[in-house]
Amino acid sequence: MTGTNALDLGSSPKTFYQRLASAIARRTEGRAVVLLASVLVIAVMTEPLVFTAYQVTLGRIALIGLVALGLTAVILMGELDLSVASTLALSGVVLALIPDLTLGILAALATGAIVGIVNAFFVSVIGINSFIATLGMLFFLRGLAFVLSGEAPVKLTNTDAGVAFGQPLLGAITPRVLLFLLVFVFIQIFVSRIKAGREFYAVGGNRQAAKDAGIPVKKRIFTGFIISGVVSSTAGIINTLERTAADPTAGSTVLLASFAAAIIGGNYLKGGKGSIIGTLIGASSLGVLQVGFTISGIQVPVQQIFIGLILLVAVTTDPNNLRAVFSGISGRVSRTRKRGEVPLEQGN
Amino acid sequence: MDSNKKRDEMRKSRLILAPAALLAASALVLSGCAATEDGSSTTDSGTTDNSSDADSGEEYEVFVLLPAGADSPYTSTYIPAMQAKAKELGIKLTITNSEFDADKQASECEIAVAANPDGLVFWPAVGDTVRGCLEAADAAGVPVWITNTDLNEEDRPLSYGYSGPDTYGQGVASGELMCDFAAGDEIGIIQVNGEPGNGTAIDRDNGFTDHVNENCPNVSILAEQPGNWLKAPSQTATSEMLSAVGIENVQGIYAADDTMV
Repeated sequence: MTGTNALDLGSSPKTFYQRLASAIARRTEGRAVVLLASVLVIAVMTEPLVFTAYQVTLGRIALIGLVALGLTAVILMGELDLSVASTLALSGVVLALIPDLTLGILAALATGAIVGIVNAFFVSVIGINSFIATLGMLFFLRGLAFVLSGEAPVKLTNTDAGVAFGQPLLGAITPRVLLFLLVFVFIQIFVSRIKAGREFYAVGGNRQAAKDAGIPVKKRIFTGFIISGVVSSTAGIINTLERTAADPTAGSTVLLASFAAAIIGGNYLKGGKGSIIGTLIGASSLGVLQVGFTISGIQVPVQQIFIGLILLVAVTTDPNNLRAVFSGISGRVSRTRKRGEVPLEQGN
Repeated sequence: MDSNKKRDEMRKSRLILAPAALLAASALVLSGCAATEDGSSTTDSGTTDNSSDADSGEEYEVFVLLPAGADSPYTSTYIPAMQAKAKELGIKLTITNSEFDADKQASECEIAVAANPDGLVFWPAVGDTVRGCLEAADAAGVPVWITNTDLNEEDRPLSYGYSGPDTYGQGVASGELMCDFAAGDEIGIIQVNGEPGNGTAIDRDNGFTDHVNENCPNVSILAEQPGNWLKAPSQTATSEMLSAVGIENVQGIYAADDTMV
């Protein structure tokens, strides 16, 4: 089947509609767009506050989506980063422990970069599976955040700066939303326009082929994990400034929400397929959904049922999965028919 | 400043400090002979400070920002009592659950303030991180009642009232029980705390250790570990501590919450 598809790609569509259909078929965000449209329609009809208080909804999308954007850079290469939430917590603690705000922010960003380098070292140099390597880092960094903070929240030295940071800059645009958009634009341009970023897809699609083609796979893995680490620490900095304190337990709901946003956005966990725009749409869908749930007073267990169902639908409606399912079913049906025909023929 | 002062004067506290209920709810002191003081109820009634205007038939809308929900034994006891009282008073409650994530709770607070309710009942997930939420509610003219875990001193003027236990006092009361139990003998104990970083856990821990250190130095805390307010991690932590320090050296166990034992 794969061979047939590869051959098909060689034939270039001629008409505009054929080119459009071909372009749409290559995109992975289709299901996320359908979900977002559905969620928006339901929200308009049931909870218009989601739109009238759009600044709140934007803030929620940025809260969920920021870490997910960095995580997507790693997922595109077929790797996982389970340490994002712990990196967020540790970076926040590092920021709050340093009295000078500028120095603290730089140290927190450096923390994220170092975490990314260590993760990439384990994955690409030592050769440990990224799930295991970053799981180890998840525990290590969380423990470190607790030890450094003395197992208690650490107040910012300059709390007024933190309160000021949380205020809108222009209309609904708070620094959190602005940074979220900037990170989105940066990673989107990087993976779609810059050669090193585009190579993430090759590394995720077929690592051996990428190596054979001369792509520096190890360097790309380092780059991806550093992006993930720095974006996580940026989220930790924003959270710490807005709350005026660093919480060593911070980010307890971030890890699963980030993965959910990336998966709903059509990113393939084995790498090679997906997009940053998909993650943005996935995070937007989840953000609108969660704001709607909160306004409606729907409790967390029920929310989890909905999000679990959406994840399952998002994964099972992947065109590749559907093709595999349908070909499996048709193969089974034809085998059954053949088995049914044999005894009949023998009987005759 | 004047408005802060006024709010400070208005702030009402309902400390649930009846010793029997408090001791049973806040801490269970286990010893070899499993001594208990009485058979008091462990229910902690989180009540909002309401006026009696609800009798007029008008429905009030109140957002309740909780750090946990049906996933926690403590809040699953707390919520039905609150819902029953709200129904009686004609208050429509919208209850959220931040899963002890301060950032998620801050976002829920923004949503609540945007909904412009008649009031907010707020149980901080992490006491040090709520300034932004309180200021947003204050700016929008939405009164905030704090429940179960009180605010830091400097944030209190931004709230209308507090209902709930004196969490530091709960730790002190547990320390008193432990000192009484030791009766002047040299004993070793282990301590199972709540969730690390959680305000109530920190207060209870501080109250207990401060009292024991000051009043009965004959009681030695040999080890302490978090139990995260949950039974299974608490049992694991307890067995590990017993193995580490030697069960023969342990004459008592202090657990910060009865749902953990």
